[in-house]
Amino acid sequence: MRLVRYGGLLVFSLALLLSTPSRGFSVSSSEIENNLMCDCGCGQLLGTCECERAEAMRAMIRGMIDEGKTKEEILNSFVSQYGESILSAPPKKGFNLVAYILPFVGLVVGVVVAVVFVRKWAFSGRKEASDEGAAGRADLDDELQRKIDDELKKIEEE
Amino acid sequence: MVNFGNLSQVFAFIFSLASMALILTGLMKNDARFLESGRRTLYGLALFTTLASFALGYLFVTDNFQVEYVASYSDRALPMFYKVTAFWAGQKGSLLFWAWVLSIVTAIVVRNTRTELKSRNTPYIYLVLATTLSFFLFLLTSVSNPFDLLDFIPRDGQGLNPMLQNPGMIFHPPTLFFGYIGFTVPFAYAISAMVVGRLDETWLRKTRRWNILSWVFLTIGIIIGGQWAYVELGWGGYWAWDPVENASFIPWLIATAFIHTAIIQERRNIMKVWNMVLIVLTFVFCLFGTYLVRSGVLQSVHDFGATGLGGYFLVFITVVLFGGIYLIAESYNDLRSKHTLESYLSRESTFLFNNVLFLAIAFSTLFGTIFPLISEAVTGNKLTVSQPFFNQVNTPLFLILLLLTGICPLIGWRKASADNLKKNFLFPALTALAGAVVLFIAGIRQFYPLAAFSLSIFVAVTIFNEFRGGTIARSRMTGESPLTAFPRLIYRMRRRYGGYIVHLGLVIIVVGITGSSAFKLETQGTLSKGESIKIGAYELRYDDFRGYRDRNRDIYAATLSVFKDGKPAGTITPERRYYVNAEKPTTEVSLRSTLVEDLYVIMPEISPDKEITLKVTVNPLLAWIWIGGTLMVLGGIMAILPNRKKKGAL
Repeated sequence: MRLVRYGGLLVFSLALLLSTPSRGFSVSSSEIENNLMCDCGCGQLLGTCECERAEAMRAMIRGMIDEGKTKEEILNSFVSQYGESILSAPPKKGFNLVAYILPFVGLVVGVVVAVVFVRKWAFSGRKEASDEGAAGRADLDDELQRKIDDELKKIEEE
Repeated sequence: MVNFGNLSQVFAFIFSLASMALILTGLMKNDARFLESGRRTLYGLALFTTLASFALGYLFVTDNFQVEYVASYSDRALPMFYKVTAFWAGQKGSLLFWAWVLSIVTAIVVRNTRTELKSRNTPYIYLVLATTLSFFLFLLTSVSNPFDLLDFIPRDGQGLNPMLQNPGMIFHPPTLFFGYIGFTVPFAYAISAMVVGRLDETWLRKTRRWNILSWVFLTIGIIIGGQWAYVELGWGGYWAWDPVENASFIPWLIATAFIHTAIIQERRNIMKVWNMVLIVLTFVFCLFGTYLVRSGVLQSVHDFGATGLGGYFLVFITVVLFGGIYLIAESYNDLRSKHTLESYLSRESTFLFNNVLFLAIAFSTLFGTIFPLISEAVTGNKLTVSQPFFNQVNTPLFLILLLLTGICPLIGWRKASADNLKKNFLFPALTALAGAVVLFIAGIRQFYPLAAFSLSIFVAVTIFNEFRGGTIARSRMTGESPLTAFPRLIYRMRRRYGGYIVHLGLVIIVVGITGSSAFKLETQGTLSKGESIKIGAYELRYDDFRGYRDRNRDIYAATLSVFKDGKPAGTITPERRYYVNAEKPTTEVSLRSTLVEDLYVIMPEISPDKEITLKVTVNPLLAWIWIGGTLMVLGGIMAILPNRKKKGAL
């Protein structure tokens, strides 16, 4: 139960962290270019495409920066013109949050499951060891025990 | 030759069906003669796919443009070298290549198991391989035939995409395909083990070399792909989280997880169910990768030859996935081993957590890749998921994985004691902490780069400790000098130290990625002759411009003198190329690469009066990515080097 609680807390914290809005202060052209895709259909970031469309879009960005627009305003302007698919990453809102949060939920669930299994296996391991100890340990003389330990050491070194 | 190729392909398909029928009959009638015939038919299949492949190669080399596939990916001016590699430039050739290599791999498996036909597993192994081959040969003969003819004979072909005219393209697709195809073998062994109920670690032992060899090929393919993107695409990076890149990375991640837990099953006979799940997933995602490359369902820089094979692939992938799940469910009770761990804190348990990490990264990569489709289906909203998303989501996961890479080898098998932990952890942890302080003082204040470098130090120190400890122990035991003991230790225990070398390669890659992404410098400018552009410690002076014809392209090249800290440091010559039959010109990167940093220059524009626009990037430590990648490959190869045969042994 504790694990689930901590897991939930971790997911919530990560969600908060990831949904923090980006800063809207003065920006460079390249910062905005990395947040946009080129419109030519090449599947590349605007900052990395060299086609004429990309150059025209970069010129638009430079113009808007000169007008004193913030990063958010510039990105919004592109979204209103081209739709959300022009952004290189989905905006952190609504259904899109699933994309940001689910991998971490998956991680937490995976860790919880792993912990549960490790605990279970470790418990049966201890139980088995104590059963064996009660039943057979007394039969092992020191010489045999040393041999077993040596063998285990060898295996470990392999 | 067209008919010859076509017929060879058809015969190969018939042989694959015949092999399946013979093996099934042999199994039903319990008649070894049928099984033997089915086995031998697989050799014939390999012969016919080889003939079909040579026929297609011949058609490319002889410029037979009546063949639609040849006309689409080659032209007369294409250098001979690329005419041969155009074989796998499109979907049809890639499918034939898949079938060819898989048939050869199958023939190798058939030969290696020639004395094991009486084993209950073996016919099922052949059956899985023959079924997979039948699927590809069905596509080749019915849906996507590389020998299809045009109604007319064009005077010339459409040529090969200029981006594919790069030496990296000779190796990148085939190595990835070798990786994908190689995993068919462990998958076939796993399925046969479940069908006959022989669920001990035998199938893992028999396929260990196939697993690691396939992993090595996938690694080579991914690294060469990154190198190709870096020198060919001209955007200054090597990994764009493109859907097709992701499609090769996902099976790599799952296969890496599988290789780790396979070790546990071999040693402790636990995690049998989990290993079955992982090998089925690895094979499914190998098929998914092959499908995604040319399916066109997601926008990709790899859309060189998309055709509509999606439906067939999805059906086959679904059959493999659900068939695998069904068999695992059926065998679940037998697969469930008597799971025991002696302690929470053991190498076995840390391997389990590294598996969780690998799968979490694979999941986030898959989910991000297909999220545009999910979003469109759910909200009707078209979205793009590109680098910023993957960097944001995957970076923290990778850092935790890096930490585990350091921790796992420090914790002993079975049970780690407090003393053991203190002894093993203290020095690496303190060194990493000291490294972090030094880096912080040196001005590295961003969290991710600082964490990545510090963790890299931690992991590197743990690996060096392993090498050091092993060498000292061997030296003491044998009386050899440390210089003699070191290589002998690595050679004698190459499986273990091969693994450490892979980890060291990973650390070096992390250093390269961190340096080149966090401290990258970029600038752009337009220069007339004699003018200069500055970036960091570099100054580039535009000296000369020339245009000339080379084989199938017109080249325009600018020569720039490079000065570093005011001292001459050679010249660079970025180019703009106009290929015959290409719609757009391409840029040719000029690179000055050192171990410290890469100076990366492209020339996106040339004005009529020979003014040039340059995009200049300085990528610190980038060369270490290729060095680390090479080390990972070498470590993998080392881990599967065969033992020297003892004298007198057969």
